[in-house]
Amino acid sequence: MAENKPIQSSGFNLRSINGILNIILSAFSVPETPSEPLPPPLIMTGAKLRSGMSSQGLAADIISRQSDAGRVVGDVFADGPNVEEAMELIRVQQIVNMILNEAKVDVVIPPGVAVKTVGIGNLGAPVISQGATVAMAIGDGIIR
Amino acid sequence: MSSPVDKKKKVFGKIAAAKTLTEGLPQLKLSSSFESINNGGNSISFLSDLIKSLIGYEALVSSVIDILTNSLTKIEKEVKNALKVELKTIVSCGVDPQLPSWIQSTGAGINIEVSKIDFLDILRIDPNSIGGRLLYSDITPDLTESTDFNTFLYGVIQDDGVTYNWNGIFTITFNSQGVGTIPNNTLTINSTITYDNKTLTDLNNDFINSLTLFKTDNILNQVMDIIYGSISSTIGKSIKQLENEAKINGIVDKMVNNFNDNAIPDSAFSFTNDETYKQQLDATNRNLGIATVNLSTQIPSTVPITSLTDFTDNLLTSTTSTEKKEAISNGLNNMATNSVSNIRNSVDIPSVKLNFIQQIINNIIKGIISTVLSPKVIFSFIINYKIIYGETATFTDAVDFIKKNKNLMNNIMKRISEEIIRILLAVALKEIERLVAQAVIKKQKEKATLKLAQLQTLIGVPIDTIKRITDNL
Repeated sequence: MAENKPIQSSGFNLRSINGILNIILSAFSVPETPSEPLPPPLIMTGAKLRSGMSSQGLAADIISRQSDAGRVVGDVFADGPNVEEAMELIRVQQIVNMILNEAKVDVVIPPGVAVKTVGIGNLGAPVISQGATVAMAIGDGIIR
Repeated sequence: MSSPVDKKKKVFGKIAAAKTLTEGLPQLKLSSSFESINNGGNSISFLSDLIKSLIGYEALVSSVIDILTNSLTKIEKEVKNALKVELKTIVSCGVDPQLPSWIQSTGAGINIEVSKIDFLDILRIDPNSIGGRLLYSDITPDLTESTDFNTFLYGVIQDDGVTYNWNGIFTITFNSQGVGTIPNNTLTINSTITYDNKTLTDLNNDFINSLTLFKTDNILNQVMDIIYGSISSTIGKSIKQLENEAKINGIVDKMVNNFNDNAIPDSAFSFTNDETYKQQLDATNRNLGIATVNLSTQIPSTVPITSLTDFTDNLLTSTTSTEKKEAISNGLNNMATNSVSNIRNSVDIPSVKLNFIQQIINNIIKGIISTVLSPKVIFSFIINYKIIYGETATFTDAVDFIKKNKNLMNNIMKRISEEIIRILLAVALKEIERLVAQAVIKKQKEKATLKLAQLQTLIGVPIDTIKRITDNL
């Protein structure tokens, strides 16, 4: 009988499931634009107005919206106290505690930031000079 | 590199994420209802699951119409090319490419038992019977004048001892009574005088070109018979015949699932006890004319032969492409409605109808392969085998044919599959594109709203006022 040799096939290769899956997965990749920074003067003044994080407040907000997802709000008569709500509070408390007590914020000021400095001149009069930072400045911060 | 099952889950995960962005809370469930979420290489089954979850019934119907109308011509061309290349490979195994004198117009001819080219017992069905009308094409009053080789051959067999000419290529005579070593029910075949000085490859190419392989109505009817046994139960196919067909379908399934590998494993031709049991069950169900629908209980589903004859009649009387598409669409909707007639809970009907269309897509390759395994294609192969390997060379059954021509069959299935995948992938990608675009817009809007909210917190707007905006994003 004739030896069965593989036959060349025509066209674009859509034969492997991996190839097809890669095509489909690539259809989901959309490049995203980076978000623009908020105005620094507003942060400087506005940050002081913020109240800070509250785990109880966050848990309360989530629980109040439970019904949006179709979950029962409050105690169910037959099942006793709502265990899921208690669990929500514990979960949020742990997350918020971790953020408040252990999270760390590193702030980097890039080189080239324009600065204005005031010093005392030879005659005792103030001298204003202008320039730019030449190295990166690194600062620490915490989340409140 | 991730395995196919991980990538498949990732695709459904991405869709769920995009839907969460566009529609709010997640609605897509990654459950066992998606049978294709496995490591198998069956891309058609995965894509039909994907379209089913992304869009639904109408998109699947439209894909079936597209495959059965626009793609079938291309598939026919691809399959014919594959057949010609394979026949040429067989011819190259022989010493002399010329036609031997005994097959030429004045020779004794090649004798082939009808049963050796008719593995699926098609030639036992009268083209003018209710089942025959669905499986044959171009059923002319005088069957030997048909342009369909299967119909022509049936006509030849009805006229014992009379010689008929196929398109100036072959003369064929049916002899019900054998003489000497020639068995009963044999076809004696000679090439016509045109080929006395031509090569076997010329004869093969001209014969393949003279064939009409696939017709929309025949393919859809075959598919409905594979799923529901609509024709088999009416014409009384035996359980043994149907088990044989289930075995062939099992081999096709295994070959399609192994498309990722270049070599076809020997395991494609052997079956476990569970697989054999499933084949027996399929055969029994087709014999009864039912398929089972798995809801809370198993419910028998049927598509009566009358809905196939109505569809065929409507399609054959349609002239324009729009009319043909409408006839297919109406036929599919009618069959889908019939398939849910035993479902009592109306909530289940949409999903069962959706599965009905998905089953058609998943079984189209099998419907096309049934035609490849019909006398019109086997005829040419057996002639070549007898010329090259001698008078006794033959195929014992369809499985033997597939085994001895497994690269051809694999190649044909891949070409068919590629066409179907092209259509399904285009539908899926179009919908994914729409979904992703919506998600991007939603995300940008969300980012803008959040930025505004953040700015408002910095100028002292009360947090409860801001929450009213952000909670409804």
